[in-house]
Amino acid sequence: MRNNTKEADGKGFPLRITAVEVRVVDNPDATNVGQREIDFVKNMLPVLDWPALVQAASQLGIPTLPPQLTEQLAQDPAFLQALYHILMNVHLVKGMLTCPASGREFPVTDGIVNMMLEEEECERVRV
Amino acid sequence: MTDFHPLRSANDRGSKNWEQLNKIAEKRAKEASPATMPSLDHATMSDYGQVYEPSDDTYLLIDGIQSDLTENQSIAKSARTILELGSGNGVPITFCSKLVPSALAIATDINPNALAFTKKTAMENNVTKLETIQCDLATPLLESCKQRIDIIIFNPPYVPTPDEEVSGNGIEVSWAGGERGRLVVDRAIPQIAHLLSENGVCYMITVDDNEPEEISKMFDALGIKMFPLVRRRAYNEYLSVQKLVRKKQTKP
Repeated sequence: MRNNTKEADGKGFPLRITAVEVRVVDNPDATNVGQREIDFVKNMLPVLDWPALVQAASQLGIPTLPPQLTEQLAQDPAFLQALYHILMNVHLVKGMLTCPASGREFPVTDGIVNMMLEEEECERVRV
Repeated sequence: MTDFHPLRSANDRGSKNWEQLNKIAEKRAKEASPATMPSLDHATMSDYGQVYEPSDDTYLLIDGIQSDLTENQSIAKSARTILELGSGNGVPITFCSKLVPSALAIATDINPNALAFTKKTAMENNVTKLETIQCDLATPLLESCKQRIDIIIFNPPYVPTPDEEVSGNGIEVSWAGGERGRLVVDRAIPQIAHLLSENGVCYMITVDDNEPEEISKMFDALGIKMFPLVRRRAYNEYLSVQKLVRKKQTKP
């Protein structure tokens, strides 16, 4: 997601997260994460924007992601398990996403982000 | 509404070639094994005052998805991302996620009640990899997901209505489609063309009033081939699931 109105001038990403309520789905047994989940994460790695993810995770209170994604890590099952947990089990329930360029705010309520634009913003959407 | 709306006469349907494709789609729909509806045990009567209740179009859509993904296992195996525009009751995206468990599902809708309901439908059916965004079509995803969506599902508001009924974010926007039912569909065409990945596929509902052959020409101009996948008569309208794929570049 990003703010792609003209105000953001192509710099509407990544959105800054202000968390009011974060829900972490408990996974008492980390070994529960099976091969299917690991495959899912491997599958997603090429499309992840790593710096954006690191920033988002730290804004959600998880400062432990390494700044660089190395080849070695990408093959490490323990790392992939932990990453799966961060990607799929940490939910922003209530908070705000803020466009880094324009300051436009998008509220999150009950885990649903509202990115509806005003009519005059729609006319300036860049693709 | 559609209740007293006559079926289109034979002479204002599509070209011969298109009619031929429709016949194949009707046959395919007859032969397809009916898809099992995801559980909606969480739903209450009052939900359906705010969210579109599953109907013939929903059933045809999941039948079509099941039939196509069974036939094309490679899509089901390799798909990373599923996106539903206007997820409503969440049945299609939940159904599709069950068939493609390795994919991340993204649901959008302008009606927040629909998204809350979509989440419940997913949860009820043990689909956990779902993100929900309240927005118009896929507008906030256009930049970051360019040609990155492997499966797009779209059951648009296709019922022909006066244009002014297509506004707000309540239950009426789940079906009110403006002139020829095309107001929302036409706006979605460039977005779908933009988001669909190289080997991606899109399943989209149309009725004949939408003049799907004309829609297919609009997609064709954007490098996308569209054809009827399954087709069935429901009361006074013919519903089709259109399948869309990127045209392959012919090698020089």
